[in-house]
Amino acid sequence: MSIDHSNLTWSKPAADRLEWLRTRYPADKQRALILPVLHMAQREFGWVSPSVIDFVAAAIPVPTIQVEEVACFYTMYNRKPIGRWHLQVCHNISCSLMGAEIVLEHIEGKLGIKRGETTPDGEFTLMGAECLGSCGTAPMMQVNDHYYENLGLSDVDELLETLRATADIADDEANVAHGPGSGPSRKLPQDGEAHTAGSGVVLPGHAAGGH
Amino acid sequence: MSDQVTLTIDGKEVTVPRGTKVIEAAKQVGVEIPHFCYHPGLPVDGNCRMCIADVRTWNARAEKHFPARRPAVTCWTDAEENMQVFTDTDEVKKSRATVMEFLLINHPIDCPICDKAGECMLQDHYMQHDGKRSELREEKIHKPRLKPFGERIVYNGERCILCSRCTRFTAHVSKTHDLGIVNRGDRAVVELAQGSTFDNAYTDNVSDICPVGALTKTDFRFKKRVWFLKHTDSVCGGCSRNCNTVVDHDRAEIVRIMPRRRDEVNGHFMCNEGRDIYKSLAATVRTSAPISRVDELGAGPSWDDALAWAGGKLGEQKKGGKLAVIGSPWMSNEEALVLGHLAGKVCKSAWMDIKNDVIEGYPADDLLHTDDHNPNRAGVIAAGVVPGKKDGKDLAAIQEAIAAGEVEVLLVWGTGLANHYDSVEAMHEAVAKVPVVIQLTDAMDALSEVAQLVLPVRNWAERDGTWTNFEGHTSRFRKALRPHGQARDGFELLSAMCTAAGGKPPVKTFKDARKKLKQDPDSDVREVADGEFAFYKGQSLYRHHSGTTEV
Repeated sequence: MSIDHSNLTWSKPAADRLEWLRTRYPADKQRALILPVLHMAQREFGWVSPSVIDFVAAAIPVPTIQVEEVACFYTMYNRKPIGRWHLQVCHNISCSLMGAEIVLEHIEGKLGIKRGETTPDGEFTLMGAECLGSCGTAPMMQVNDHYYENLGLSDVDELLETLRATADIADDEANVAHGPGSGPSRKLPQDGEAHTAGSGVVLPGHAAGGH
Repeated sequence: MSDQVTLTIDGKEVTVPRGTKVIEAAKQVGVEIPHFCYHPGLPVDGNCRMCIADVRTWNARAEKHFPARRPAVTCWTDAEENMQVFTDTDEVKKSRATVMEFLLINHPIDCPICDKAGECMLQDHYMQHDGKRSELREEKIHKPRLKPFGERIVYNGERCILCSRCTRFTAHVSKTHDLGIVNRGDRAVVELAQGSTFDNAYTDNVSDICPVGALTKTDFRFKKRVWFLKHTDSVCGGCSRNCNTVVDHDRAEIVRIMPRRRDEVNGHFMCNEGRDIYKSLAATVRTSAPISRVDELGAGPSWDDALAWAGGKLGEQKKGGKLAVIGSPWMSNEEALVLGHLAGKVCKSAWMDIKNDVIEGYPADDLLHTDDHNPNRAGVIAAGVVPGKKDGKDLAAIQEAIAAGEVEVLLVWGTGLANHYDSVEAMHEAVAKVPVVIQLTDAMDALSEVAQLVLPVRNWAERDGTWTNFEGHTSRFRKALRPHGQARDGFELLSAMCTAAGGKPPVKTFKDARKKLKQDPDSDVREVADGEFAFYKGQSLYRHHSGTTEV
């Protein structure tokens, strides 16, 4: 699913949300909008391309270079196009102790790509990630906005098959959220909609969203 | 609360306005706190941590100084009443050494091939505050080393210490937002904004303020080791702003022009066009000796003969009143004083004005450029070459009188008379009706092709003088280069012409001229550029390393 970045426009909800975001910051501090608007743009347009940076800079408005500085600093902004499914395997201490490297190598072998790469069919992008705050259920990975925990290699195989077979992200999001994996998956609260995240399955004793 | 606060810095008491940063207060008592990212012409950032000192605040209720929990960043800390600052304790020295060690982790230390070597803050601070061998065994991080930022600047990411001076310059001074720091940690580099060509008029300043050799100028790269340069205070004549400059020269050749701090004139910066002015200076066609087109003098007269002849022609006009004098906004105030006297008092000239020597240049902007591309119109008028002084007989009247054949002697300073005619031919046709045209000039132009007498004078780089800018601030420029051929100093030549014309010069010496013009002593202000140490200016490397500083 590639989005044409040559002529970007906000969807109606995004445009509304931008106006709402503006009211959260003083008029002379609109620069603070860069983070939330970039997140929103990434969700809208798939990845943060140079055109998206220009578009966001003009929308706020701030000088382009300020948006570039922010977009380069944080790893959660994808500066390259990513596949339909973005697999982020945590390889920080707890997950490493529990075999994250094995999980990563297994996925690499299975998909035929190295970490940081995307499969030629555009289905999967694999990345190693630093701590995602789910140490108690290591090893784990994040697929798009969802956590899959207590991973075993057979779970991973099953998950990849399910993901590949899942036709459309938007339609099947609920389905995927309760997809395979020995542990329950949690939906990450989106910025600005944390109040709705309670409907997901949250383990007792875990902070919602893993923060 | 009082507007002033008094504090002690290394035991020296100093009173400064409230809100002054400690680092600035320290300068006033001669304590130079080492720093990289701080620059008085830019917003404070406080990222390099080099300017740390032991800062103890006064607690009025407890009536004692609070011991500092950790060293404070003096560029960020406001001076407070009764504050105690220690910049030389063992703890502070150790902190500085640690900062230096950190900054040098990935610095290539390629000083032998770096243009900044010799005027590099990193190099100097290393010598003064660190001096250790590297303990690092890992390979250094590699980054782009030859990245052009526009036409005039080349970026070396490995040398860069990420002080953000350049990005703050483009964000807050030029307001062009060209540069930013992208990526993070040891991968961070300065990057050109996407779509930016970095071609504004002030780009070279980022190289001046770069504390290391990360941003070098294409115009200066590999041209000269800085310790061979001699530095002469000068003033830029590119427009009526009169940016104070330092002319860096070696062997009768100007190698570069750098801005000199003068808060009320140009602040800390100058434009690219002003830096390039030495190229046009070098390209001018000049004459090394007087040229004559009159039979009694011959083609190449001696100065004595030329002066006597010119003086005679001018002296004849005392009664006739058919002398027209056209001055130039490139004259110094002192020269204008003598020319005004020669024309008005000695020769009783009927017509007087100033022409537009240079009519093309960079358009005016909000920062430094003005729309007058000549330096000293205001000063020349104030010094006595007043347009239409006598009965409003200004340049238009002079042109009419020339056309009507009423002008007997035309005395012109400098070039560009043709700017006031439709074409060079029209100018030639007009001045052909004047029996005696005398041109005093530092460059040959269309008028020099026909004038009866061309007397070479020294240009701004070869003589002393002052210019007054459009806001009334006077700045002094000094002789940097040996004069071309027999070119004479304008002040001295005009004074000699007063005598040759049978009069007396208005003042005896250059100093008297300045006194008579009641020049503001600030015109001699000589401040070094910020971020640079005093010993860079006019000091040899040897003296620098022997620790002699000029404060």
